[in-house]
Amino acid sequence: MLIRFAKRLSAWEGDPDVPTLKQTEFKHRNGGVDLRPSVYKLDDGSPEHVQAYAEHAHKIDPPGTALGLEIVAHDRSRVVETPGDTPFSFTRNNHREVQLDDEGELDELVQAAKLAARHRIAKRDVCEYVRGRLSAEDVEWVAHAQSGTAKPWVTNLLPSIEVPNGPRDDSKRSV
Amino acid sequence: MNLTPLSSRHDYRRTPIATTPRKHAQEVRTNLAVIAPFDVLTSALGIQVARRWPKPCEAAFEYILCQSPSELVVLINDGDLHPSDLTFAAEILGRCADSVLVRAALLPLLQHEAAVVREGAVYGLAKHRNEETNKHLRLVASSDSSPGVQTAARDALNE
Repeated sequence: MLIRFAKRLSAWEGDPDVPTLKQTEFKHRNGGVDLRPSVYKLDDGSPEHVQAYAEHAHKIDPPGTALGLEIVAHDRSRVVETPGDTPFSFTRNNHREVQLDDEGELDELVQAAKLAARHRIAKRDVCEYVRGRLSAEDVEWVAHAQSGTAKPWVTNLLPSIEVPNGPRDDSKRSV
Repeated sequence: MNLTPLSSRHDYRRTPIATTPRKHAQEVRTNLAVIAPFDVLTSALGIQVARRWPKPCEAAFEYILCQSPSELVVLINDGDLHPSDLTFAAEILGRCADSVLVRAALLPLLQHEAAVVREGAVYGLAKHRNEETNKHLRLVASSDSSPGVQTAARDALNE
């Protein structure tokens, strides 16, 4: 399935109109409607969703709850492999763009997304996943966490460094 | 070299005659009308932003925040931003270190009629919590009409 991470939970509630959804959820950071929306090709199942969101959110401060939207591309040939903008091979390899010709096609995609299944992803699960990767000394996560560009939500999950037989600081001993 | 007379390429009703094309171009930029919503910014910043981003967007809000957080507050308060833009302006303002400034600008947005704006305000306030902010967030978490906004507020309180 193709999953796109929503920007706002509330944008998808009720029966939102398509133009408003496009403005909120399918707009470039630099303005303008996004006719190549990013999605991830994931298996149906929570573990991949959590991993994908953890990697997707590595450079932001993720909200407590994220929403994965199933995106239906009627023409599979329009889904193209493009390297994701992450330091993680999983999301790089599974990143896709849906190529649309015009806003009419985006309207159809958004309308279908309104009716498709949604998957909630809790930040605590994301943090648990990242903590596990760091504890397991996952090369990609450790490199990112130590890169100097990692967000605090990542660096705070680094295992504390224990020095069981480290040097004693005698200067602080009471006399 | 382009020797086309300046008068055939530019509208001189708005800009004075310049001695060289380069100088003329500079004057055109200086006199560029900054259209809404960026017209509420100070003129220098408004021109810089409008030249790079003709319409409001996340990148523009981030740029304004870097230049002057108080100007982003002006844009939020007076820029008549569409809710689909205001929600991101509110979240981005939350990256500002000045909690007093952030709370003053974003607490009123918890009453905004658009749920996406209230949600953006919650995200913006999440790192600026104090007793007063928590009181407002608890109210949102328990009684906002949007389940998504309620969830965002509960998450913020549990961070």
